[in-house]
Amino acid sequence: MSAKLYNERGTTLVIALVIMGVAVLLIGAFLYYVSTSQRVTTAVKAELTDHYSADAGVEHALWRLTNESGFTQTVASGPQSYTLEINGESVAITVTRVTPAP
Amino acid sequence: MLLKYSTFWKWSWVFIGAILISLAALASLHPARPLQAQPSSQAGNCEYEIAATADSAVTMGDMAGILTFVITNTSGSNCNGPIDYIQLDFDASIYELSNATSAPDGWRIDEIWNAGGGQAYVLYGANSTTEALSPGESRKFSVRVKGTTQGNNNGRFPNDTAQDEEDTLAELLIRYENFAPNTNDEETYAGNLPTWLRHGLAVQVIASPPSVAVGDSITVTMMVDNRSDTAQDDIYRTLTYTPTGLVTLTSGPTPITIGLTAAGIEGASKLVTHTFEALAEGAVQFFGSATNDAVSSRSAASRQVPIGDFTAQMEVTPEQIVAGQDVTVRMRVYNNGNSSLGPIETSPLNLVGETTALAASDPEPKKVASLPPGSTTTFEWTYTLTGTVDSTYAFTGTASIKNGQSTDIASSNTGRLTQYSAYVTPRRVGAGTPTSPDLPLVFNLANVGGVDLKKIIFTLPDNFNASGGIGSIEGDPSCTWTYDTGEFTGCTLVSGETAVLTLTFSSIPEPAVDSNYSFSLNLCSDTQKCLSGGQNQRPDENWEAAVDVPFTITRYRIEVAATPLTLAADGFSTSVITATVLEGAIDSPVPNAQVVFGSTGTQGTLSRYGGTTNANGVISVTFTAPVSFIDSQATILAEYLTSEGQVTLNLLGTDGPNPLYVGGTLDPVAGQPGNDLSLSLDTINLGSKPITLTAGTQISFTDNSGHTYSAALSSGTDLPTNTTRSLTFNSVLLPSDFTPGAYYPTLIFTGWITDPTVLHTYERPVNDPFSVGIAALEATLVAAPDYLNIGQPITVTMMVTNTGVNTANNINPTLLTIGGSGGAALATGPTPTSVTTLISGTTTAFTWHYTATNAGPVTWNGAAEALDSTTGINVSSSSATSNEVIITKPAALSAAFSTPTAVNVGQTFPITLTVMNNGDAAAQNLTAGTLDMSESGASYNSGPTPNAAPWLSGGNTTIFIWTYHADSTGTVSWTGTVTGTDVNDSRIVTATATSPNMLIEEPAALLCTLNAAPVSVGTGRLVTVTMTLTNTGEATARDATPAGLSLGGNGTANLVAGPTGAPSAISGGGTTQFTWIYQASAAGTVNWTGDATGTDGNDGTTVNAPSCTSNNITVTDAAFLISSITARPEAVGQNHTVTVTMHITNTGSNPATSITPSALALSNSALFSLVSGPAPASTDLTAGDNATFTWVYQSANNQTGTNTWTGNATGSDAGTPTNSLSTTSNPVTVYEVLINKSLQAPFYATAAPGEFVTYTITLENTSSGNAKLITITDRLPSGFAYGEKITDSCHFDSTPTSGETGLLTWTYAGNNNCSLNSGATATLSFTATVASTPNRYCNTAGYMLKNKPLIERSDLACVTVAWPEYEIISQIGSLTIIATVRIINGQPTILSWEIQP
Repeated sequence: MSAKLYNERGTTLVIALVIMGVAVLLIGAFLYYVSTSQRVTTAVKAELTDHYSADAGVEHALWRLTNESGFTQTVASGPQSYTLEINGESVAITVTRVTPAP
Repeated sequence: MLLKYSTFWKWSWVFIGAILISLAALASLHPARPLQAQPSSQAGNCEYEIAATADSAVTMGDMAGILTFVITNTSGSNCNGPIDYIQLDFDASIYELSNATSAPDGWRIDEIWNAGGGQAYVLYGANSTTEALSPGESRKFSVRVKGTTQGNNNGRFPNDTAQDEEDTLAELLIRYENFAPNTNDEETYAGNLPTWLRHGLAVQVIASPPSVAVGDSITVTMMVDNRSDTAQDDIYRTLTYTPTGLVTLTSGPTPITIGLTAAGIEGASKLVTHTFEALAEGAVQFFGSATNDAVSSRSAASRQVPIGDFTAQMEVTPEQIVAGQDVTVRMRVYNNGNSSLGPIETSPLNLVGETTALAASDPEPKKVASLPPGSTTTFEWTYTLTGTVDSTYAFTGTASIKNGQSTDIASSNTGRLTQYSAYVTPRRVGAGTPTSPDLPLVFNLANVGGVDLKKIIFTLPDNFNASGGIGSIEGDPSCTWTYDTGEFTGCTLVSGETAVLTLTFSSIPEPAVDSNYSFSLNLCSDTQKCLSGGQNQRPDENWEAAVDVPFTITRYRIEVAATPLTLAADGFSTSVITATVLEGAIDSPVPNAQVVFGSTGTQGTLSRYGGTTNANGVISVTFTAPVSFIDSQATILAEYLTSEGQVTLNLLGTDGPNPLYVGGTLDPVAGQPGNDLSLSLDTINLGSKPITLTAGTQISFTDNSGHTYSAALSSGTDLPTNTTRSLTFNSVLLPSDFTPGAYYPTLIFTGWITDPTVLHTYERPVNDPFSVGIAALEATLVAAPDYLNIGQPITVTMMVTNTGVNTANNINPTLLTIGGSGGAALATGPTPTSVTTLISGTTTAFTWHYTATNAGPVTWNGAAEALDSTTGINVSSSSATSNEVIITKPAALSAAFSTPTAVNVGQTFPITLTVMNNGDAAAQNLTAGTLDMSESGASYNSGPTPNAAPWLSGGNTTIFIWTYHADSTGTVSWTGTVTGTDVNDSRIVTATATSPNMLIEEPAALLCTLNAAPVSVGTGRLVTVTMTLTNTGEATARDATPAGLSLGGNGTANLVAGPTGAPSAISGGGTTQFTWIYQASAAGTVNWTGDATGTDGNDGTTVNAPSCTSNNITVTDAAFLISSITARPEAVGQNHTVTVTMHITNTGSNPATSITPSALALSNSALFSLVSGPAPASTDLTAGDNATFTWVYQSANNQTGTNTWTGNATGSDAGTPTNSLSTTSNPVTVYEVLINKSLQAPFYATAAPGEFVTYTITLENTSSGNAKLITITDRLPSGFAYGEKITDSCHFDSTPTSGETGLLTWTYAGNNNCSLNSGATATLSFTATVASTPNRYCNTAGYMLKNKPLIERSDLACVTVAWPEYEIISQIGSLTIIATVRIINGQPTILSWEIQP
């Protein structure tokens, strides 16, 4: 009974090593996933921020066209470009008067 | 001879001198002498006339009269000067001349002679030549005549005849101024002397009562006296009145004719009575006279009778005073209405006349608190008048009450200022007036004649026996006149003073008829020389003037008494006045005598101002004292016909507050037992002190059973003097067992004057009754039927119910008024007109029948009126309004068929009958029945639907529909009748209609054919394909449209255009065509196949044309040239060049070689000359290639106008000639002064609505000479607004004038011209605001040279007006947003939004 028990002890080790190997693989995969997700999240967040900033740039130009005295005349004389600091980033804005479609 | 002659003349002169001395002595005895008659021939061509005025007449038995003569100098200018002396001689057996006769202005009386012996005359003398009667002038001489004292006439005009007598002057003598005085050169009037009547009848007209309301009666009594010595029969009267329209005669005269005994005998005086009904407000006066064949009377006038609910009369006395004397003005105010009035006050009086009036007193009283119905009160003023002799005076004024109601303007009689005046008080007494104790007559005498009077000589009428006399000078108690044998002496009446002389009589006449007397007073300045008696001559050296004082003894006598004679002047204390009318001569009571009351002195209120005596000749009225703070007197007058009597009351002045009820303010005036009742009224304090009323003030009334209604003032109030306050009492239950009747409440005023702890009470009557348990009416109005037609009858019923306690009497409906836009005319009603009694709780009905006359809604409005049977007060229902009746125009039907214009054989179709009700009333149960058909081409299928229309309102329509089947071709119509019933009057109404003719046709059928031409073409050329579509049926084929063509064969052609021709309607048998244009593109055989569709115009089915195929055409390979010409620029100046280009394309499949343009043809060859071209001279074109030929032309230097160029090109297709079609270029205009216009817009040629643009007009003189520019013009596009001129090279006006629409014109400022040398330019810039509507706008500019028409050029400087658009690029890193926006009125609109990447 005892010999048998003795012999079974090596099998257990193999099994434990296999399990540990699988666990290492899983943990590694998990850690990779987490890392990638964090990178993706950061990128998406930056993209959204850019989008919001660009949108705000358009809104700013609209505000100037409808409220800032003399701006439309200035634009009528030629395209007007300027930059704004939005969300910590620089947004380049160009306003051009165009000929209405017939 | 000489000696004898001298001796003769010496003695002659002595004799003449003696005569002159004698005449002078005589002249010293008389200031003037009577004129002596001389032959009238001495007057030469002098002429004059005399006439008696129409009112000159006297009456037998009278003691005095006025005769007036008008003397006119009718001489020519060369007469013997103006007439300065006139003597009128009278028959002394009839007349004596009164010393009171006065002369006209500018003349004097030199002598009045009544010496008997047949002489009675008056001699007038002119005061100066100016006042003398010059040729063409007239003077009026009024002579006061008296009855003769000769015979038995006793100073009366003789009556010893049986008829009127025509009297005449005995003689008229005149003298001309240019005649020497005292030369006996007067002349006697040789013409007919004037005459006048001495009437045998005397008439007096008496109207009673003195004032009435509209609807009341006026009794007009004529007292007719026979003054002749003979009995007179068949005397009839004439009675007129003015103004007309105010009254109407309702009875009389009674009797129609009268007979009178001879004068002085009983029966010589009789009364004729008339009754008039007052119709309208105003004042009426009556005029009467009497006559038979023998005798007649003068016309007499009654007093004015004011008509109305609230009226006033005015009187001023005396009518003759001297300057500085006082007159008394009385305004009598009458309440002829049904309710009390108050408080009454008067307006300031207006003086009419030349005198000056100084008010010596305020009106007394100032106000009257209450004037009950039927009562009268009097206001009295005293005025001191000044002015010149003969100036007149009269007064006008009104009375008013609190609500603003006022009387008509009352006017007094007119008085006149004299030098001397005298009047007697009383002015008349009744026959039988006691003379024991002696009867006193008081003569008031005034003197402003400028001479002191020391003796007054009285000439008494016969049978007046004076027992003594005494007098005084007003304001001088130290002097006393004494009377002895007809003379008053002892004082001196200084000019400007008045005297009161009292004569007492132990007996006076007692005539059986009214008798007039005259006291003659001679006024003397010397006590010794002044003569007396009727034979006095005038002038006497100390005899200054005379006056006659009229006095009347009337047939009737009125004795007036008062109980008590003394009462408080507190505004509510009363005294009963009793008047007894007696036949004076026999002391017999006169029953049924209409007595009129009035008052003088300190005034009060009389409970009534007229009434009829009882069987004892007695009538009573109640006098209510006025309010007066001092003791005073009031004289109550009673009048019957011409007689009057009076009594004087003593009024004790009152002090302190005097709150009084204001008449007519009690509200409500009736109430029902068992109901709560709150009374209100006005009070006025006419006392001398204010009072503050407390809530302890009460109003109460008690019935005979001891039931009392009493209410306290709801709240206290102050009541200053002469102030009115409205008082409201608490609501208190009127006991349910209170005895119905009319009660006069009592007011117990409680209040304090200065100390609130010391209360005073004042009991005052409310002289308006409060009615308890009166009848009460409720009325309802019902009109039927509710709906009806014009012309139909309407019944209106008023149901009247007595909801009150008492029985109502004399129930009458008021006049119904009609409301609404409709109309109805009264046919009959009300039925009954009146109901005598309506006991409590019962109902009666009144019915009217009307006929409807106008369409629209109508209502009736009215009320019922009645008299309360117990109190007699008027009760009326509230106004009732009936239900609304709708009057309509009767139903009237019209009908019209609606059928298809045409149907196809075999088609089932509807027939519609439209029925309209043109009236207002509805028509019901409309049926249409079976239709009649004119021909047999159709057969009945079904209908009508609906079978019947149950209701058709006015103005509405309904339809009936039948269906028929078309059997065979032809023309058919239908006739039908619709029948209904008018819902209002059940009348049968119908309408018949016939339809238009309807065609029955064969259905439409389409057939198409296709044709292509030409049958052989080269590639590039055009082929025309034509489809002919024919309708072989009868019905119209509508919307016939070809289907697309399909191309067949081995060649090809491309569609260029088509089909042309809109979808069309093709009538039966008709055709239409459609065309396509194809361009052959590949060699081979080509044909086209197509079809067409349409719609049957009758049944709407689709009609298809069978497919059809065209003929074949053959397409061969070839070259094909197409050319076009363009010239630029389109506007040039003189000596300018124009480039003309011809563009050529080879659209064929073969190459074209050696292509050359044709020579260009100019439409205006003088305008341009060829400079160069064409270039190139020739070219080749492969299939589909193109080329351009160019020419250069130059405009002439002295021409203007427009030119075009025309030409084509020719080439070779493998040896076969081919050419393009000829085309024409655009026009090019040559200007002497070339005009151009440029635009400066906010953004290129674009501007937003409302933005500014700048236009610049440039003018270049391209001619070789000088151009004199007068004006520059510009036509702004519609919607553009001119701004301002910016630049101007030639000094045009700053502001253009605005001519025809949109045309701006600048004129050279120098009023000359802007001179442009050859080649020079002028510019003018201005701004304008663009239109608000987006669009493209072009401009027209122009100019005018001196002596030349306006030159304009259009389509210049075009600007696009559009809302501005922007592109916004927003970029961050690699992210870009591109947005396109449009700003409209400041609001952005996103047009596009793009995100990159």
